[in-house]
Amino acid sequence: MFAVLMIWREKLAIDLGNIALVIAMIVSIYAMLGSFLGISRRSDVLVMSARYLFFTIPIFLLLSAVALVYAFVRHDFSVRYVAENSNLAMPSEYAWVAFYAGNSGSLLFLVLVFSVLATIAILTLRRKLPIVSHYSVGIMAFVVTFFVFVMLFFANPLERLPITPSDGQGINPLLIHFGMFIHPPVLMTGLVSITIPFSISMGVLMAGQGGEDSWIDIGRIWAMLSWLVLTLGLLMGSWWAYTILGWGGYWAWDPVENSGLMPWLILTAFVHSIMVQKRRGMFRMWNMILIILAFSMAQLGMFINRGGPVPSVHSFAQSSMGWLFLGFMVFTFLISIAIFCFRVDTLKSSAKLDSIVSRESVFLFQNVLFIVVALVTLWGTIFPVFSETIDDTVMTIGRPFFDQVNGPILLAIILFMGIGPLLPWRKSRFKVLLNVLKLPLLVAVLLPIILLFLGITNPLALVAFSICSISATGIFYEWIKGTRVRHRHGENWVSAFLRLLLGNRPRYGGYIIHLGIVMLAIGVVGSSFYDFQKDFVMSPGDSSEVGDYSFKYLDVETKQFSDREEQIARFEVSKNSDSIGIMSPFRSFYPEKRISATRGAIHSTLVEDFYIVASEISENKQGVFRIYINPLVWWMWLAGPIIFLGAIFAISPSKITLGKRVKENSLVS
Amino acid sequence: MIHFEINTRKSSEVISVIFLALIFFSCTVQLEQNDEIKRSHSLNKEIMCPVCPGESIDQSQNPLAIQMRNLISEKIELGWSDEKIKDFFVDRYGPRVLLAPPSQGFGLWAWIIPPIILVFSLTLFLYVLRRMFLSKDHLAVIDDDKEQSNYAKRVTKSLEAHVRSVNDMERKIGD
Repeated sequence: MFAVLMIWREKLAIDLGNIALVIAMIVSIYAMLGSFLGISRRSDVLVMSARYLFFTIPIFLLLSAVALVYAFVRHDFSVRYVAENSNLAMPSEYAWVAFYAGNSGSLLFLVLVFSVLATIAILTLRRKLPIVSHYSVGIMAFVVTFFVFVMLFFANPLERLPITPSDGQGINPLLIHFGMFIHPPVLMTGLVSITIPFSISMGVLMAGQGGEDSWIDIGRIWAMLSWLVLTLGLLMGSWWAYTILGWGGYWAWDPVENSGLMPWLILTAFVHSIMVQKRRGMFRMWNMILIILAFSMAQLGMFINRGGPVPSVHSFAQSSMGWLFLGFMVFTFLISIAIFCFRVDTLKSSAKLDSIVSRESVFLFQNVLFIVVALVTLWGTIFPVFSETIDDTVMTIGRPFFDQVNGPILLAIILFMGIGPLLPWRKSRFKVLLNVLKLPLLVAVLLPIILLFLGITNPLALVAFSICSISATGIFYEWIKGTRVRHRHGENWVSAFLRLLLGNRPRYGGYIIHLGIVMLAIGVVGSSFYDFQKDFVMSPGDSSEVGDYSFKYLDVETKQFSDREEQIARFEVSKNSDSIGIMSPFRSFYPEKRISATRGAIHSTLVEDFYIVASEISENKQGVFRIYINPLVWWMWLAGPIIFLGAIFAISPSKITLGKRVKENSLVS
Repeated sequence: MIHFEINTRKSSEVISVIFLALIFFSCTVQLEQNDEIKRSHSLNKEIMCPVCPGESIDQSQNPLAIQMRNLISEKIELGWSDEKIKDFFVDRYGPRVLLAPPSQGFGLWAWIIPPIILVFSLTLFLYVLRRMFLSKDHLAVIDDDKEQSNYAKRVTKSLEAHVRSVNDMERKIGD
């Protein structure tokens, strides 16, 4: 009797989840139609009911999500998604991971996160931009409707199987890693959250308020948040790839990596050019185009990731619904452009460009470079499709191509990242430019000379480090100078520095982020130009040396698990005869799935990583081991927290914007 | 004031240089690798592992990739040129085995389009910039050149404006 009740309860949970999904769909359709109809009929009742009903969507989606997670925890294999993405052997904490590891579950995750963010966004919008918020509700409800529609009709995570299997197929063993808890959800959140600034901007456009810059503060905050989450998601992905995949790299220009990078590039352009609009009332059209592009690029990512035509390690298996997302992307892009063209007369700049040498023009130039990188990346990503359909040859575009083509442009962006902030707004002369650049240029010339003496001879690396130094020097110079001025007014050094930063948060937050980017660039340059690798064939007891490191292969231990076999090699490693300790790279083999995974052992310092990968370990314990020495990689991971701090600092509310509220307007009045 | 300017410059200069030099000091790790090993590594990075889409044989741990890596080392020892080795793999697996498309035939398009995008965007940028600049209404342009560029003055100015709020903050922190 009890067992029957339990089964009934499980079934009930799934049914409830399905019902909640249907209700979410109905509510979002109402919110969409109610908003737009309400605005055109000037009906307060309609728009307000639409808004408040929209607030219930996260609750219904959460119910569905809970039902799915519950099904995972209870190993309810009557649910297709659960059977395909878990098995009895899976550790229970991976129920959370399995929730978004597959195609349909990740859709539910995306729309749930989006609806929560959208609700918060509407709450922040409704007082400051009442009319705009009505449009935004409609747009956000449209997006929710599309996602829930796709789930209900094409990829329902709560769909049942006709026959309940005794065990599920399990999750891809490569996903059983700590990175899986953070990288996919953060990156997905970042991608879907671009929809928030997009909805706000489109709401502004539709409401005909593009000429008023009242939305800029709130739009900027949401864009920055989205940018931050996306940045962290990408960094976490790199970190994960570096630690688990065992190839000593962190970025492979894989199609799906590119599809996350492209919206990031456009969004980066947007968060810069929106500052020009905030300060100068310029670039209004440009900003709208950028956010439309960023949103479209994010949708394109959904297409590539979900069964698009480009093969990738990230793709969800056998999903053909990419085309739905492509259709959605094309549709939203065309509609957005149509609205833009219809409203373009409201977007006239209130100010003109006073000088070619000004911060505005450098920002615009930097924007152009970001878009060029994004377009080139897009071209490289889809080129194989062209070559296959037009020329009938299968071609691959990988890292060598992107490094050569994008590398120089990215370096140029770093250069202008150093110059732009040093220039004043509005107007300047080349003389002024040279004056502010004097010190950074001096360092940029001195540094390569110092480095040359230290033994760095690669000209490209020297140029890259020199460019990085321009940015860093410019930032330190302003900080030291500003702090000194405050110090002379009687503040002690620490508080002078902190108050300097607090005085202009968008600017100095930006500087902190720039420092993070410089660190990232240093890591990338160091590890790309000076990575070292060598393969060693070793038997237990053998020792060998690389540079300052010496290592001894002690032995290998084989452990049997229910789903896999692990071979754990043990190395005794020392540098300059100082012991580093035992390092244990291992290989695991999953016989059922015929997948072998390798995990490197990394000894990480500020200067370089010493990285051992077990490429092959045979029965007689003889193994092929690959040693990497990757300089400066650690700086890349350190950049993450610094960028995080900088971004939070840049958008933290200052006293001026706090408490400044506009009364909620009615549509009728 | 002049004295102060020089001082700041000097100190920031020294600090920045020291900081940056420290960062970059670490790049001195340059291990001697002979040309053959370097060549094989750069070739490994350019050739895709046929059974693991998107991964180079350099990064893949698949047995086939290991086999191909060994093959490349052998061919280099036999004195083959990079081109000949690449052609050897293209003959076996088709052009998709190369991670950067060949700069001939249809693959040329892959290389031509990016510079076109760059040149086109820069031209458009210059055109827009020119238009924005030329179309400016000659309103009373305040020549605040010095004011804007003098960073120290601006900091002082903002300091004076915020002196009261700073005091407030201090009081709050004191509480």
